[in-house]
Amino acid sequence: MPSIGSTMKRACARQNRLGALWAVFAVCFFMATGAGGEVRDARMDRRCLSCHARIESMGPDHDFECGVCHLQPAHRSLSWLDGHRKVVRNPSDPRWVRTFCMPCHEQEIGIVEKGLHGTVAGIINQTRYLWGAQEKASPPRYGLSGPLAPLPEPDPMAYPENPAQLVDDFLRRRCLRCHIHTEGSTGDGLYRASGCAACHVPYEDDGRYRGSDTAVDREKAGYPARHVFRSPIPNDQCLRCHNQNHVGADYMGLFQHDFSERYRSPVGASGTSKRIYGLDYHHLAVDIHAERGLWCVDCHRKADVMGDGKVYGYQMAVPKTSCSGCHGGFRGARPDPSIPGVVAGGSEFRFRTRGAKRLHRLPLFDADVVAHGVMEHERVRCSACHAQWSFQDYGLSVIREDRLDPLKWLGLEAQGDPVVEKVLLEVSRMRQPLQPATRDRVSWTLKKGAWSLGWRYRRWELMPLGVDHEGRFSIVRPLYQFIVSYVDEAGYAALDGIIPIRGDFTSKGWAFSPYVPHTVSPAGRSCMSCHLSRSAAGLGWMDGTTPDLDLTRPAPPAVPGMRLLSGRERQRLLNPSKRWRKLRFRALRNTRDVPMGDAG
Amino acid sequence: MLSLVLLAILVVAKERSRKIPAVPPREGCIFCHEETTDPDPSHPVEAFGCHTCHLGNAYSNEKERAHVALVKNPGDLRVVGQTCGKPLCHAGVADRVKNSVMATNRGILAALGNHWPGASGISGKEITDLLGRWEPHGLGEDYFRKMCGGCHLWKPRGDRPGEVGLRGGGCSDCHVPDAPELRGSGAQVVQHGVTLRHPSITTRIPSENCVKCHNRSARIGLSYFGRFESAGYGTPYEGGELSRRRLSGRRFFLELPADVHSRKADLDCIDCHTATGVMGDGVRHDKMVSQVDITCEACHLPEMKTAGAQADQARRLTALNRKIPPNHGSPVGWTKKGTPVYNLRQEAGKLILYRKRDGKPFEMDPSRMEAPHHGLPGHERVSCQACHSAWMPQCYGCHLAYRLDEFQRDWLTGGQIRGRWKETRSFMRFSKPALGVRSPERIYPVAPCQVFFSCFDEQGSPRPDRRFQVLSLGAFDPHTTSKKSRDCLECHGDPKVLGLGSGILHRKGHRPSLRPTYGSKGSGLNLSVPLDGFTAMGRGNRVASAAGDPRPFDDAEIRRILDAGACAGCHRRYDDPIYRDFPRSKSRFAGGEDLPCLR
Repeated sequence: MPSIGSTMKRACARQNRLGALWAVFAVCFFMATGAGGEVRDARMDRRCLSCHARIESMGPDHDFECGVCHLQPAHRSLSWLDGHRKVVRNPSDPRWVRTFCMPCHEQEIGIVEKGLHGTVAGIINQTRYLWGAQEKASPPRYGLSGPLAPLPEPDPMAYPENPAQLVDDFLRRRCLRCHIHTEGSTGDGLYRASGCAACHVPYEDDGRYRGSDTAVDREKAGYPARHVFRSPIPNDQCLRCHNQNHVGADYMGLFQHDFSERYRSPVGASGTSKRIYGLDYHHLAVDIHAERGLWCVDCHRKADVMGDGKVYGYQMAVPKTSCSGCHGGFRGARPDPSIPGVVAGGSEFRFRTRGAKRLHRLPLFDADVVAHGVMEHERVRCSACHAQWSFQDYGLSVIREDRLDPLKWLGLEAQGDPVVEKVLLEVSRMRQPLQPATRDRVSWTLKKGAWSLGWRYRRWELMPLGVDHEGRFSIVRPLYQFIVSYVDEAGYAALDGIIPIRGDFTSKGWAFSPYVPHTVSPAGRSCMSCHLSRSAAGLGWMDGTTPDLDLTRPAPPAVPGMRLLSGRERQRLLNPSKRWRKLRFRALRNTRDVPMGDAG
Repeated sequence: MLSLVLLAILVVAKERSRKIPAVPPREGCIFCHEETTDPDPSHPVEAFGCHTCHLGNAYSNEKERAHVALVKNPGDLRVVGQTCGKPLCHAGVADRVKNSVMATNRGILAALGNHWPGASGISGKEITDLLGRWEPHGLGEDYFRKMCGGCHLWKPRGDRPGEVGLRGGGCSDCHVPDAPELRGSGAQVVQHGVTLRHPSITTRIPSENCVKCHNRSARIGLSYFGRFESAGYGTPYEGGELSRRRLSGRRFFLELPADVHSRKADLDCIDCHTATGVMGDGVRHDKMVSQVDITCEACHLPEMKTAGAQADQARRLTALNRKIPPNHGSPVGWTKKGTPVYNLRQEAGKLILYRKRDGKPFEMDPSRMEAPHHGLPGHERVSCQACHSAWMPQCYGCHLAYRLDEFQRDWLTGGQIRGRWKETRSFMRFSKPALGVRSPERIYPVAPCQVFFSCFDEQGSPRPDRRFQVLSLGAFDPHTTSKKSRDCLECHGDPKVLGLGSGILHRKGHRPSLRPTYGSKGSGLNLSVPLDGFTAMGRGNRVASAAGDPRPFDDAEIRRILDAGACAGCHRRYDDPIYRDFPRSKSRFAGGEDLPCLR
């Protein structure tokens, strides 16, 4: 029987060679492994295996004895363990990752801690800036890991007097449930682990174990699907966090229903609607890449997702595989065969998907398409034309209540977060006001009050334009149009619908952000969905003639370097030139695939 | 000193409002009800007493005997023949009202009867046919009784708290303004000291009286005032509570542009809607649209007339209104049914519309029918509403869960009967109203009505065998008129407006093809079109509206509209020469001739 150390060394060597799998996780207590799921007779692990007899192998790179990952070094030599208490359920959890994963994966862990999945710097610094708590959104000041300053923890005794004093509490309790340092909410589609395992150990939607270990309770939610690392990572696992109306969900065509109980539809066999990720969803047009079976990880490779060792302040700044990398682009650019998956074969290119390992013909950028012949469009993101729909969630009202009145939230309890829903359902059932306590998702402590939120209205039809950090025209979405309220323990509205002011006092804390809707359609939208479109030009719906409609007029992005359209750009969109007309004429004469009408 | 003067004025005013019979009363009512205000100048208590309207026993001074057969609300349609509608009073009007759609609900019943499976029995029926019956015949009727039957003139007024209690009551439903302090209480009469303040009756019906009912379904009463029922978030929060922009039934609204008639002149519903249109012409109409007699043209392309008995009616109505100056022979407007629009007059060569509420005159803009946009060839069938409606409430997906293990109130009988309905939606929208064709061949704003029915039996178990869905189409004037019309491209280029549903429309060879945005199947709906669409190109057209009126555009129409849309992107002017003979322009384009636009 080899020693633990030698097993580890051997495995590490193999791991470095393969360079794909890197983290360790297990949930089912201390266990032994057998290659390929085959259960072996391991004398050292007999104690674990006497119960966890049919537990599957974590994979060939982590073919360790149970204790390597699930017992602290000091406990490994104990002859007998009193119960399961000493067992580390998730060795990749940030509390343990240094003990268990670090010896082999120091580099990867360092990268992840600096990357956006680790720091969550984009959300934190932009929101803090918009709520007036810091002067700039970028470069980032605060983050959950890496070299950034830790996110301040508000003094629970302090009485908030402005949004800036509430923002960290809001982030901690409402936004940061989606970060890899802690487990998220529980509920269908939301079960996941923390740390490395958040991504690398897939869960089923219902959070139930589907493996062969007979000792695991299959009726209890909160276990990974199997005791294995999965590579490549399937989309479902990304959607454990990238749900609600965020990029990721749109790739699968998901758009969250409105919160009110009047929108629990369609009626299923249970008498109510089918819920996932905390609420029911509209299924809109699926991104063409998803339709063809491409997974998130087909485009978003390791450096995108885990990081490249640099600290970024926002999502758009992270270098990624571009559309033109695979499809070619302006100025005769051809697909880049060095991109994993791209296969050159004569004049044609193919793409091999990571999930189903299928080869697809790569449709190439067609320079004969009239819009592709307009050199000004080189500055337009592909998604600005090829996105079919976008997330336009207007007017975000947020309220922290240290006292919850019964009936107030009746019918509005479901807000996409099962934890909040539970609190609100409890108060809706009561006759007395309640002083709720909810968890800080970063420090995991219980704090007084609960955060609720509501939108003014949410749409997928509008696609206003802005300019990203690289000067490219992009679709912008509201992130967000905050109105902040705070009700204290006595029921007094200390903050009554305050629109925060940005940290540099330039304007109110409302922002639209350039983004890439993952709703790609093979056919682009019509010329007129941008040209001649007042909403695309940023004038809003019905010219924003009422305060509610005014929400559709974009506010400047939070990140320096990004902006809305200039007056001149807007005029050029609304009053197209003679050349535009001629080009359009050519497009109409074209007998090939031609965009018609106006989808915007 | 000032307060003393004020007090004196108050006392005088109050004294003047008291109507103390000059002659000793013949009615015993006055023995207890000493003083009361007049309901209105046309029905002075002094002349009418109480018994004329309220019946009862006027010869007794004892409460119990006096109140035998007393009618609290004389406007109630059950007694109206002996009260308001007695011979020599308003006999003709009362009979007309009983036949009007607000009393019969024939329109709603016919719509349910025509579309719901097994509900044909209620087509042609009306409220009075259902009032005495206790057992609903079929699901359609059950749904009507529990979900629709609370808004009609036969409903007793004041029977429930809140807005619901204000509804109903026959003549009084409209003619008795709901005093603001009464809203929500359901009470009808308030005793102020010794003087009984009699509820006032009026022909100047305030719009609130209309909106208390007309705020659901097509929601025209909301839209007209620029209110759109929101998705129910109750935002923004105010004072730590949900938004104060509330509607009845825990609903909220957003503010959108109000109808130009409301925005510019603050007109009330009755400024357009004539007595005949609202109270009916005596015919039992099967559709609201056939009862309504006002049209845009009645005012904006008016046919003014003076002579004839009808003009006398115009003068009489003017006199009844009491706010509009008397008509000394000025021509007035006429509706399509030949009833006078008495508040529209031609005076000194000007067209003046008087607001009925206060008689304020508004000079009308001259009609611009000669303008190029109104004479654009090919738009002969297009209604004013198709272009001039800025937005329209659109409610997509109506998911009805029917639970036989629970009970619900029957509005018509007041009894609890088996089967409870719960209604949920997919989503609501306000922008880009779709268009369709309504008889007689008019292009009109339409919105789909998509019922997805599911049933749970007496044990609460789902019954998939009883599921059904009803897809229909409704045409209605959204009452969001705007002076500026919609952009040409909004109709000529948007698949949603054409009824196809939103998505990316592109041409493959010569065939238009749609990549729909809403995935109905994926969203769990058995629907071959996106939820915001109701028709499809090519085979299997006309997904919705089995009754055929209104109907979606057909393939040929859609192609024609899109063809014009292709040009409208560049040819932005209505008087552009290419539209004079568009088919010829199209063939020139296709023929590849040397076209001026390429020079």
